[in-house]
Order: sequence, then C-alpha cells, then structure tokens
Amino acid sequence: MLAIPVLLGVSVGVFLMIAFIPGDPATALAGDTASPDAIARIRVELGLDQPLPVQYLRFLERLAHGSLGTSIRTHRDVTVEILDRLPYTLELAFAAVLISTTLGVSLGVIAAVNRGRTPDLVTMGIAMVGLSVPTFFLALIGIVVFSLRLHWLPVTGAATLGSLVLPAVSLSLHSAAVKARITRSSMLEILGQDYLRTARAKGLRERAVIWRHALKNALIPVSTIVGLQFGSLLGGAFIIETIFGWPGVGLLSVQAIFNRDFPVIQGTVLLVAVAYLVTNLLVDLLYAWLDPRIRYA
Amino acid sequence: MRDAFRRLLRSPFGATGLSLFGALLLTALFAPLIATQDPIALVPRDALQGPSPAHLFGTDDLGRDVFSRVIWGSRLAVRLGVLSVLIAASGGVVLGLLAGYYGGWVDNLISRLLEVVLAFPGILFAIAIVAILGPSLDNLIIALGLFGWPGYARLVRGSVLSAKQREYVEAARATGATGSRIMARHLLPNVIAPVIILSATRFGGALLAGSGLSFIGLGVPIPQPEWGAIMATGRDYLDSAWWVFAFPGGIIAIAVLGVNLLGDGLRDVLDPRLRA
Amino acid sequence: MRRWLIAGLVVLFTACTTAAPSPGASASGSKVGGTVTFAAITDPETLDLHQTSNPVASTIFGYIYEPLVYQDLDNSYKGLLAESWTVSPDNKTITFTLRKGITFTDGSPFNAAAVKFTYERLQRVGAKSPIFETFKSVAKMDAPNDSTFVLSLTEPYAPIFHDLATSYAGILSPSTVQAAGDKIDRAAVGTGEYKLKDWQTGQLVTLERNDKFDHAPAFYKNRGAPFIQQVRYKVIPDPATQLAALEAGEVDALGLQAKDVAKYGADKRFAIYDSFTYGLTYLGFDAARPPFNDAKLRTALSRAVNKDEIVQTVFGGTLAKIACCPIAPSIQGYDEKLKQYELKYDVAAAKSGLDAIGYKAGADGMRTKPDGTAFKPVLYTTTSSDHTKISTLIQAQFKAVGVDLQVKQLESAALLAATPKAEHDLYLNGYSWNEPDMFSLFLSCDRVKTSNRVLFCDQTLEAMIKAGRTELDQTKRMQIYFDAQKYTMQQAPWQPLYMPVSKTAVVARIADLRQGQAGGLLWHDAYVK
Repeated sequence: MLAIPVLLGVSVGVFLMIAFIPGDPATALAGDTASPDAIARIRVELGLDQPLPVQYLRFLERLAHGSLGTSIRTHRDVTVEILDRLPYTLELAFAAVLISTTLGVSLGVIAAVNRGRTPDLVTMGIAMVGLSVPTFFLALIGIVVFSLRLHWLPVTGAATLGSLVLPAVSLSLHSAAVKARITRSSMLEILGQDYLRTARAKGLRERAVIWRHALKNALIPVSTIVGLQFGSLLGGAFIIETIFGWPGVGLLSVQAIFNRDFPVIQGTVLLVAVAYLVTNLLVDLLYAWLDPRIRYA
Repeated sequence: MRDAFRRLLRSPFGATGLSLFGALLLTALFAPLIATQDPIALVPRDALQGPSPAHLFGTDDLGRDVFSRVIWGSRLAVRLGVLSVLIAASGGVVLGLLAGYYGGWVDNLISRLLEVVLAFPGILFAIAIVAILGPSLDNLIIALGLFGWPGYARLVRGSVLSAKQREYVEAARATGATGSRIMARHLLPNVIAPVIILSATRFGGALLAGSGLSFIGLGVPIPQPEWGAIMATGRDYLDSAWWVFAFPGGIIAIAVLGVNLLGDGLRDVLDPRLRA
Repeated sequence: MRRWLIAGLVVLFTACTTAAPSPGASASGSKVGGTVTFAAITDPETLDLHQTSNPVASTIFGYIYEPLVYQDLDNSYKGLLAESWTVSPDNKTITFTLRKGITFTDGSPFNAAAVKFTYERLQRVGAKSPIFETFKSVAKMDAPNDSTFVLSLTEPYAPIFHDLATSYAGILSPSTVQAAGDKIDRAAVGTGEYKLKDWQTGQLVTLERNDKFDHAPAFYKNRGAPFIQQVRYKVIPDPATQLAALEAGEVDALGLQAKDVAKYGADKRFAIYDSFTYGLTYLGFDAARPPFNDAKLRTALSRAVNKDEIVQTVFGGTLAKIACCPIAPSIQGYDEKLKQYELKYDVAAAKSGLDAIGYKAGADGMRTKPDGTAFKPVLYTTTSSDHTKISTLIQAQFKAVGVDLQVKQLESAALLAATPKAEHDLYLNGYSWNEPDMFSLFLSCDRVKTSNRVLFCDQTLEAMIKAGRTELDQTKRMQIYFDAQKYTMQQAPWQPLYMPVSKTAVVARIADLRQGQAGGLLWHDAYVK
C-alpha cells in the first residue's frame, strides 16, 4: 500500500531527530554522578557506538521480524510498554470522540434548526469560546472546581470511571466546537436544497425531513473530523495525560524523549503514524459509504 | 478590496473579530505605553498580591506585575502568530502550487512528504526541535511554522487542480508562458482568499499551541513574558493566587476568539467572490 | 540506614491514599495493618538496583533490598546485614561477619555467597549504578564461609562504608536472579522489610509487609517487621497534581512547597514533619572557559548573589538554609569555622571587583569585557520551577551590578550532554551526596568530561581530594576536607547557595512517626490508627 513509503519516511524522520538531538541514552541513564568510563561502557552495551546508518538498518531488520526493540530504561519489549498504555489511550480517545461528537452535533443541529434566533447565537457563541480557550486552561480549572472545591471527581489516576470525565471532557471541547460549526453549516446548506423540498412535498413531517436528510449529509464532514481527531488522540494528549496522571501513550512517548529511550521513541512514533494512516483510510471508506446512500434516500 | 472591507465591517462577527485583532496589534505596538510597570522588575515583597488598582492583574510569585507582563507578552504573541503563519503559508503555498501544477511524480513526492509530516506526532517534534536548537521563541516559531505546511499545501493543491482545467490556463500555456509564470499570474491570485482565511485560523492555532508548549517549559527563556510561560508560573497557585494563571489564559482566549471571528467574517466576505 | 533516610526523602514525592483502605490497628491492640500511599513523580522503570539511578526506583527497592551496613544517627556506620567487621592494618582489607539466620523472601538463605554474587554482578552490569566506581577499587572478593565476606581494595578508600550503605548496594538473592535469567527488573526479591506485591506500569507500585523481617537498626523502637501492612506508590507526574491529590485524600504524605506550609500546618487533617537533606544547590562558574577561568571574576560575581533573597523568596525562609560552603551543613566535613571564607553578598565589593579587572560599565549601565566586547554570560540550568525562580532572581541581582545574564534552561538529558562541551558560563544545580568525597565527583580533574560540571581542574585541590579519599583516620580526614573547602571557597568555582530542608505533610491517622536526626522520617515505627 501507499502507506509503506510514508511509514518509512516517518522512521527516517525519527532517526534524523535522534541523530541531532543532544544527549543520548547513555548520558541520560548514567545519571548525574557517572564517570566517563561508565558512560562509555553503557554506550557499548547499547550498541550506540555503531554509526547511525548501521543502527537504522538493525532497526529495520528487527522490525521485519516483528519486533520494535527493547526499552533502554525498563528492558522490556517496546511492544509490551506500548500495550500496557494503549488501553488507557484508547479509552480516553473513545470517550473524547464520543463526547465531542454528541455535544458538537447536538449543538450544531440546535443552531441550524433555529437559524438566526437566540439558540443559534448562544450555541455558536459557546462553540466559538470552545475553539478559543486553551485546552490545558480548561483542564486545570476543571480540577480546581470539580475535584478540589466540589469533590465530585478524583484528581488523578485512571482507576474509576469518574477519573475519565475531566480528561475526556477537556480533550473534547475544542473538537466539539469544530463539529458544532460544521454540522450547522452543512445542515444549513442542505436545508435549502431541492430534494429536501421535494421530500417535504411528499408529506413527510418537517421534523423527519430535517433529521433524516440534512443530518445524514452533515455527518459526512463530521466523520472526517472524527477520524482526524481520533487519529491525533491516539498519539496521546501529552499535556492532559501529565496533568491528570493518565497512563497513556502520549506520556510514554514524551518521557521516552526526555530519557532518550530511542527504541520507545521509534515505537511510539510508528504507532501514531500507523494509527493516523489507518484512521484516515477508514474515514475515506466511511465517506464513500455515506455518500451514495444519501443520493438514493 | 475596499468593498470587501466594508462588508466585513458590516457583519457583526467580522467587525468584532477585526476590532479584537486590531486591539491585539495595537497593544503589541504600544506595549511600553500601556504597561504600567516594568514587566521583568522583581519585587519579592509584593509577591502574590491580588488584583488591585496598582496591579490590575495582580502580581506573581516574584512580585512582577502580571498586567504589564501580559501587555508586553502581546508582542511575543503577535510575533509568534505572524511569523509562524508566514513560514507555514510560504512553504505550504509553494509546495501546493508545485504539486498541483506539475502533478505526476512531483505531486506524489510532495504529497508523501506532507503525509510524513502529518503522521508525525507534533509534540515530540516540538520537543526535539527545542532540544536541538535551544529554547527560544524563534525556534518555537520554526517548529509551529513547519507544522503548518501540509494545511496550506493541501488547500492550494486542491485549488490548483481545479483551476488547471480552466480555459485561461490552457490559453496561457498555448501562448508559451512558463510554469512559474502561470503559477504566479493565474493560479496564485485564486488561492489568496482561502489562504488568508486559513491564516486567520492558523494564527489562533499558533497562539494556542505556542502557549501550550511554553506552559510545559519548552518555550521562551526567562524572563520573557510569553503568555503560556506566565501561566506556567501560576501553575502552583491555582487554588490561591489564581490570577497569575487565569488572566493570561483569558487573554489568550480573547485573542484567539478575535482571530477566529475575523476568519469567519473574512470567509463570509471572500467566499462568495470565489464561487462567482 | 541510608535507605531509611532515602525513604524519608522519597516522602517528598509521596502522597496518595488507597481507594480501598485496608484496616488499621485492630481492636486487639495490634498495630499491624493499614495502607499508606505516597506519590512518585515517575514510574520506577526498573527495580534492578544495578541498572538504574532513578530516585523513585531507588526509594522503592530501598524497601526490598538491604545493604550490609547503615548510617546511624550520629553519622557512624553500623552493621545491617553485616553483624560486624574488621579492617586490616593497611586499611585495604575489610572482613565482614554476616548476620545469621536471615532468609530472602523467596526462602533462600542469606549468606556470603549471595553478597559475593551481588557485587560481582554489579561489577559486570552495573555501569549505570551510582556506586559502580566504588567497585573499581575492589581487587578481590572472597566468601570463605557462609558468614564471612572479605573485601580487598587496591588502595584505602574512606568512602567505602558510605557507598556500601546506599540502597544501590543491596544484596540480591542468587536463586531469584538465576531463575529470572538475570533479568530482575520486575523480579525483586531481597531481605528487606517489604516485598514487591504488584506493579501496574505507569500507575501504581504496591509493597507488602515482610512479616519475617526481624533486624531493624537499633535506633528504631520496633526491631521487627514494620507495622504498616501495605505501602503504595502512585505515579503522578505533575507536582501540582500531587498536591491536589494530597488535598483530595488520594495520597497520604507529601513534601510541601514553601507556599503550602502555612496552610497545611493549620490543617487538622495533617501533621507536618521536618527533615533535612544531604543536598546543596550551588551557582557554578565554568572554570575551563574564558572569561570565567579567571578566579577574580568568579569571586567578584559571587558577591553579587543575594542568597538571603533567594531563600526568602523561593523557599519562604523555611524550606532552605543558606549554605556557606561546598559541603552541605548536614554532611560530615561541614565546619562552621569555614563561614569566614564565604563570599558574602556585597554589591559594592562586587562592583569594585568587576571594575578592578576591567569590566567597566558602558553608557547603558551594562558592563563590557576589558577588550570592549559585550559581556553576556549564559547560565545553564534545569527546567524545574525552583531553578526557574532562582535564575530569575540571580538575573536581576546580576543586573543590579551591571551584568546582563542570559538564562538557558535545558531538560535533563540535554543539560547532562551540554555541560561537558563547556559552552556555558554559569551552571545552577545541586548535588546530593552524603560524603565529603563529593569532591571526587564534582570538582576533580577526571570528572571534567562528566559530573564535574564546572570543569574545575586544579592540581592543589586534586592532591587534597586524593588524600581525603585514602585517609581513614577521622580527625586527619576532616582536616583535609577543611583545607579543601577553604581552597575551593577561595578559588570560587562554586558559590554555594542553600541546603534544601523538607517539610512533609502526613495524614493525621499515621501515629508514632518520628523525625530522624540524620535526615529522614522513621516510618518503620509508624502505624495506622
């Protein structure tokens, strides 16, 4: 598939990044009090004394055998490290997509149906604010209000359903705003078109008309956004994960960069790239599937 | 153009957006006059005081006046937004023109490269750039600018692909105009409007991303008063000295809101013309 | 004993109550039971004590593994897994008599063979361990019988007991290590007071009481197994979130920042405990690079630093004590009489000192180098919020004497890699090492490529460092370090700033928690009410 060159490009990109970044795993591992001899030994142990192209080829070789390598810090398979965190990232991503789509589409529909009147202005106003406020700002305010002042929700961890609420909502607001606006404009586009008038002439009730036709059409661009959002969330929302102590892939990848844990960096970047490409593909398929159905409706 | 501007002012969103954006630019320009105090002067005994007539936004943990820091920070914000958008737009537009016009392997190559950029996790890239080049506003701008290339390139490429079929392009080619001439004279003007609209959105996006990165410590060196960096100093005092965190955050939201409204207004004004 | 102190230090990172608390002291009067949750800033990553220097990991395996000796409250060394020892007249051979009847939690016996196995493994794979270099001076190790272990050194090495008392020198169970194929990252079995029960990667590490434990150091009232049934470490990467977790009751103990001391001191839900650290934070000058290879420039600028302002502003006057000298007040080798050599805050002296060496102020008030070029020294430091504040203060203090200081904050790996390249002019960071031989690590010539981040290499100091390292007589040794510190303070590669002090908020339901005099909190005696 066409995805292969992109993945190769991404892996080369990671290697270039690793090549230029100051500090290597040996200095990071050896800590502040290490001797030059200790660092040199660690470097040899890790194979870092090999020239970079050789390391890259070894990486490709391992990859061909289905292995992402071993974490330099924990000595476990990179695959295991990622799989330990992936469920949490998926949970957060699904929750954020669900919340943002439900919220966004509902607001968009309310706005479109009440075009020009107060509900429209209010919902679009909310959407505009949602687009403009920094995510980490909302997240921290959420903690202060809901965890510290009201004690409704836990502060940290991923243990209970309650601990999912704040991170997921924080991640969903921006996207919800985008979906609300797109839903509204898409629906407005359709609400004036001919076939809708025809459907109305056939005697269907106004409500059914709106819901079945306009909404379906509006879902097309929304599904594109859903795909993109999901793909980027799989890369992990690092800031949110740090603030809430959510043990996801984002936190893993950023810690790996700070630790210079090269195998983990490569593994997570590849994972994110694959996720991005796969979700894009699915969105394209979904798009194609949704479209012809509308025409025959 | 003048006609478009007037129409922009008449729409409520566009007018609000324009005034907010204008206010941002003016604040940046006249920062020394608007700020009441030296933004980097430390007065430790005045630390963490709430908003008052002397300190409109209160003071931070080192006694600096938050209001003055926010005002001076507008310069950094404008610089960040404008330069990153310029970098993103110039690179993206050029790539999009090349890909759309030449098609074939050029298009393939450019599109794959852009896919690589898109597939790469943004925050890792930003951390790497800052680690490699060092922490500074300009390096942050470079990172954010590079990220913007795919967005512009796709937009321009799409526009070029549809315009390529049009008669005037065929005619120009028939008269022997070179590729770059065609791109510059015929294709580029069509693309300017959507590029401007996208730029408005990207300006806001750059402010949000930039403040996020500053907040986690990847941004400007001390004591520069970048808005995200000011919020970072207030991170430990959310429950007590909330003003250090809240005011810059609110200002960021207002600035991004303004730019987004402006973008909406521009779309309403410029889009119908495109369709015509 | 150092391990217990580290445990106290880790309380700095802690706090987290369990969702399902296990019962505290039972009605029958037994104090055994309960769960205490601490916060950890990162996942431990690995519990292989030879392959990490991660402080979270060392705190946790400090509960699981035990070293041969510990440091007592009076700074002397006493036996832990070793009962006693003798040192040969040439100071090169130490013969340990090991305690009998101790077993690892996997059932195998603790003996000299296990000790030899452990240290040999350290020599083989322990390059990442902070005590790797120690075992370079070990010529030979012998285990003639089950309870005798002989360590032969190539030359006398005074810090050997300090190194052997760290948690990194804990003893492994050979049978577990062999069964695990030498991969003991997650298979941690020792003789310590707690066992590893569970580890959810990136989230929570749970330790369970070792009820067979029976040989706690004598300064504890409870010589047997600890009372607290479960100890948990919850991974919370963000310090502000840790505080929120303490507030919300998700964490049981946490080291406080200055801004919170008053609030939690008055809060009836918590008790505040003091403990000190073995750390010192200093402002260093890159002595390998002009212009800071000139001692006169270093001494002049040192006088521009207002340590009191730093301690008051950043630490509220309570969480740090001004340090005069390269060795922190809590460490052996500290001597009050050295205070006279401190380069105290004196703006006039700083200015005249700078004037005298040709750094004259220009029209804008900022000084230029003697040749007229701009003088914009760059300070490298970490991205921590404390260092951010301190650098901002120093920047302002330098500005007051006409020096335009630039600050570059780097994340840890980048900083570690940058300092050997000598691109920096100043360095702000700290060390934490409870041995006067810290000179070997941070101010000696052969560490210029790594841990000596001011790249200070001076033959006079070098001779003193070597002498101090090989001198076993306490009085003579302390005199050597007195001279070494005096010399260092005169040459001024460091301007010592402060020693951190810690205040820990602990939930009130923990009883009998005492402050150890030598640094940490004595959790072994504490129980849950």
